[in-house]
Amino acid sequence: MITPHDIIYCVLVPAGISLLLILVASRPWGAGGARGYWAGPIAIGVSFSIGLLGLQTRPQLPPTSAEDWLFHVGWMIAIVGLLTAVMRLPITIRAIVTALASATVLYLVLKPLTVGSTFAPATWTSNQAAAYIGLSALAMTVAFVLLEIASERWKDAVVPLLMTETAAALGLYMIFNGSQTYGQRAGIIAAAVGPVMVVALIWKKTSLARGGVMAIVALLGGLLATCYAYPDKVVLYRLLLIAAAPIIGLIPAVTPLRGWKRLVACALLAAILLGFAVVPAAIQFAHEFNAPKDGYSYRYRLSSVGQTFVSVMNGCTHPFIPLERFDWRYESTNTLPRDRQECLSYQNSGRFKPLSACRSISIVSIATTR
Amino acid sequence: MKKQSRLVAFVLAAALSGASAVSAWAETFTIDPVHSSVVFKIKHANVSYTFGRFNIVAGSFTLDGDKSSIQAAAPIASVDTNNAKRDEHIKGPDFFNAKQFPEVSFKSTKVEEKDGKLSVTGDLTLHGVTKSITIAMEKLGPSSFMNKSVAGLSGEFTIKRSEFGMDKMLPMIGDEVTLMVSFEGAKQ
Repeated sequence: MITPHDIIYCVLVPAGISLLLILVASRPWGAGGARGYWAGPIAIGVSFSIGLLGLQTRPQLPPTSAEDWLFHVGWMIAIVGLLTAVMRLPITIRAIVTALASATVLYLVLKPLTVGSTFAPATWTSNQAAAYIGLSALAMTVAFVLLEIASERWKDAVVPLLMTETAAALGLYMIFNGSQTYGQRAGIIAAAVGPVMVVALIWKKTSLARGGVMAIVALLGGLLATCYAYPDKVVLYRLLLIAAAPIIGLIPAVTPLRGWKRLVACALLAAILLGFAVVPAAIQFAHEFNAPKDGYSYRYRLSSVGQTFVSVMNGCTHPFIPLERFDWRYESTNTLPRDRQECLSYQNSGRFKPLSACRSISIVSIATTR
Repeated sequence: MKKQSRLVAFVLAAALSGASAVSAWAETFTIDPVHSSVVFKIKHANVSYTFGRFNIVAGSFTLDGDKSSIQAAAPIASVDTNNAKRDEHIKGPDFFNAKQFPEVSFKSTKVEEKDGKLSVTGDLTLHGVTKSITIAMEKLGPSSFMNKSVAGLSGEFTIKRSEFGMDKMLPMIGDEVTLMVSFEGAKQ
């Protein structure tokens, strides 16, 4: 269930803080403006923590859960990133700092898996945890180096765009998997990076280099680790696709493409990868949502627009849901006969061939409507 | 004279049985999961109560003055609300977060008895948060069952889930959760 409160703290507050900071730092209205590297890590980290403060009850001190730790990671990585920006450290040192920060974040959020309970042993042994954390921190550092180099070399919106896409896709993926908690957190990251992308589109000097990329890598990496570790329904390869998308998305940037063509190519390539992760989860979500097996629809209530989309999708085009499995909820609202008849008539006449894009839009509409 | 001696014998017997009852409670009873229950109810959409239970519970109790103690724990994996999808959802990160916090537990810090009723103060740990709560409990027994000395405790208390960091889907799903516990223990 997405409420106005969620939209305020998941989207508006982090986006507002981020936009304000980026504008103040880059001063596009002044003569020549400024690089304002210092704003990147604060825009990402602080927006994340403040957004979370509005979303959840006050985080525990000392933190007890991965979610509480992520809150603290937000402001802490903002400070580390800020120091990195102010001290003008070389990229080698920045990479080492990122490696240490990544390993620390992963350790903090994954620690519960190494602790057993009265009824069950720990999920991971110490060695397993060390191996997982070490490899993941290495992967996060490699991602950081590539994205940092890209941010410094091409001072345009490519990196912020890729990171916004990735965070938004992770948010959708987690919501489709029934974890509002992690979906919201990914949404906050997307909302915090989004304004950087918008300003970077207009003002070419805006960049996430020297602190901003570090903050995103630490937060998104930590969130991806929690998304893998704690919900039951996530599929590892889909999370890996999401994690790889911003890196693979950089490939068109090294081609001769320039300007908006490079931007579009990067965004499209990343979107294709992200689509492979999110769309199957969305279809599965729609399938489960409409299965009238036990009447427990805990996730989202459809608006009339969403209902219509799902009806059309299931009745006419969905390959996995036969017409017989129309949801009883449509009967109760007297929409079943009309939708069903419409679907049947369309199908029989062969006039209606909905595009797959229509299906995708309908899926998104399910998640975003109440 | 005969009447007097009968009265003395009765008083003595009563006193002895009382003493034996007290001493019987002073033993440690191990909670029998088959005959113990932890049931909870929570409001849905402010119009009904949904009930759930923990299918497994473990622990022990002893009532012996200052040495009295009650401790119990239940695995989150055993939560059962009579709906598999809902169970899957509430065990996930939106509610119990079972992989991070695999159990709910209670450990008494003070047990007071007044007029045969117990007032049990202790630490309830749920969702990684520990809070002190006081539960009014009723003593049941002791008795003998299948050649074993058994006794029981029963009580009901209400907590706010948001105080334990479980704050999703408020207020559609109520904040207050009422737990009804009944423990049957067998002497170790």
